[in-house]
Amino acid sequence: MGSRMKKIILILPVIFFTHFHLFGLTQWMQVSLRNFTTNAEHDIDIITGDIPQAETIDTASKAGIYWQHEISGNLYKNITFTVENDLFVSDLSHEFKNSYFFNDARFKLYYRNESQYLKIQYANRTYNPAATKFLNIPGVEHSTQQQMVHNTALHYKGNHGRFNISLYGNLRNLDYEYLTIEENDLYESESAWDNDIYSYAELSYKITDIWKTFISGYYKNDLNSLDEFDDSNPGIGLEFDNRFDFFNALKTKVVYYNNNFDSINDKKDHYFLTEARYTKRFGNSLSGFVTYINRSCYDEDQSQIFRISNMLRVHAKYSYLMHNMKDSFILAGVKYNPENEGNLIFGEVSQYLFKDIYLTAGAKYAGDLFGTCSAKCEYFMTPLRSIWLNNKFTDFNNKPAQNIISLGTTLIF
Amino acid sequence: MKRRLVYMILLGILLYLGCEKLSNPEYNIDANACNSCGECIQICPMDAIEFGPDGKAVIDQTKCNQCGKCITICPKDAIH
Ligand code: SF4
Ligand code: SF4
Repeated sequence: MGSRMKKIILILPVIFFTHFHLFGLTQWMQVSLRNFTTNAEHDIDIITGDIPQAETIDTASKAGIYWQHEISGNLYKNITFTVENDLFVSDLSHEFKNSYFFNDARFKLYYRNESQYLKIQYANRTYNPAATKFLNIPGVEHSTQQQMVHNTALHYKGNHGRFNISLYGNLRNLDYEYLTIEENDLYESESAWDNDIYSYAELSYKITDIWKTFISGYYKNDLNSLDEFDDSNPGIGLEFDNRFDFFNALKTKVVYYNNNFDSINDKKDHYFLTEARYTKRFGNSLSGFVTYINRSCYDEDQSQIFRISNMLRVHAKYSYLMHNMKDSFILAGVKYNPENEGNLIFGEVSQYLFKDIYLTAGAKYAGDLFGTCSAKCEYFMTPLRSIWLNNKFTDFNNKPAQNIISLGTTLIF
Repeated sequence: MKRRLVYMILLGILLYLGCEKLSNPEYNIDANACNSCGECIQICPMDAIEFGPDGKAVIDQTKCNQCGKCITICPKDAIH
């Protein structure tokens, strides 16, 4: 990515904000200072930099900043926009991240009327090479450092009587550097691009108010002509979606996909997805949901059905106090996901203390993966402005534990 | 309605008990649970995750090597 391109990307929002008459502007901003500590006993080496070099990272605490900003508003009556920007900057550390300095910017333009929706999006993720690791990404050269990712996407949804149509296309460009070994084992980095197109189309027909059937097609094309990473799967499905009353709603979906990809297990050619989500309210205080997702496939050669994954999630929340539009609550849930070792149990309590101060504490235990506990104390200066202190400790099963303390502010204006 | 949900869960239990598990797992993201934080994108060593049509993270199965790092880091437990 040349520096000229970077300048154009930086200048675009300035042109946008100075040349259009914008109204109904809302801004949301969250900034936090963070401190990362680990109980790792050994230093680690991380290879980063324009000229790749290994840096030894000790186990002492590391500092960082995370800044998220979102501006949304109207351009014309039916046209709205959102500009989102997330900046993450941190010392190189033992934290599990590909990059310790990146900026993620997304510009979205929406058009809506009674029967149509159109979203045009450009998103750009820029990595600072000095703080970005080298990865081994399939389909691109080994030891690859992400420089910049561009996503240019378009999403259209239209309603024509009983028919609904949804069209989506995304051109994703990854600008990366890869390593070549020169004489005397010195590393040289070269620039390259990896380009992918993701597209999706769905045509659905409303049989009744609660039943619909649909056909869909997903197509991914790796433009760097590695057919191995292409993917297409036409699908056909049936959906039931009924909000019975204020207290009960059920949505279920069964879809069959015919997968055509070289890089994935042949057994998945005939692929079935079943989803169900039941939402229940008991009065105004107690609510919850049950979600179940099953993925299975049928192998023609063995004439056998295989299960890919099952996920059952049960979630209940009891709200008992409302203060300044924010509730105090107790929340508990379980997730059962044996195939991915993703079983877990979690709970959270949020309590209004006094003088606009809230305390939230949570714990999560995923036996096969990790255990985590967190606590957050938040003071609301006004209902839309707060400062907070957050602490999150995670004990991973196969890696050293980590603790992140964040001091931040959230502002809406 | 509740009967339908019970049937679905029974069907799942039947599939679970009656079918052999595929040797390598597959990771997917529950769009209802995902809050679009992007943490999984920042940890995936295969560059296999990107935001999809509704701004929710989606895994490109052709790139994923089933390392399982994303499931460990997701704050909303949306990955399964
Ligand atoms: S980490 Fe979880 S919640 Fe965040 S974008 Fe990924 S899937 Fe969604
Ligand atoms: S399992 Fe590993 S490779 Fe696959 S999406 Fe998650 S982090 Fe990426």
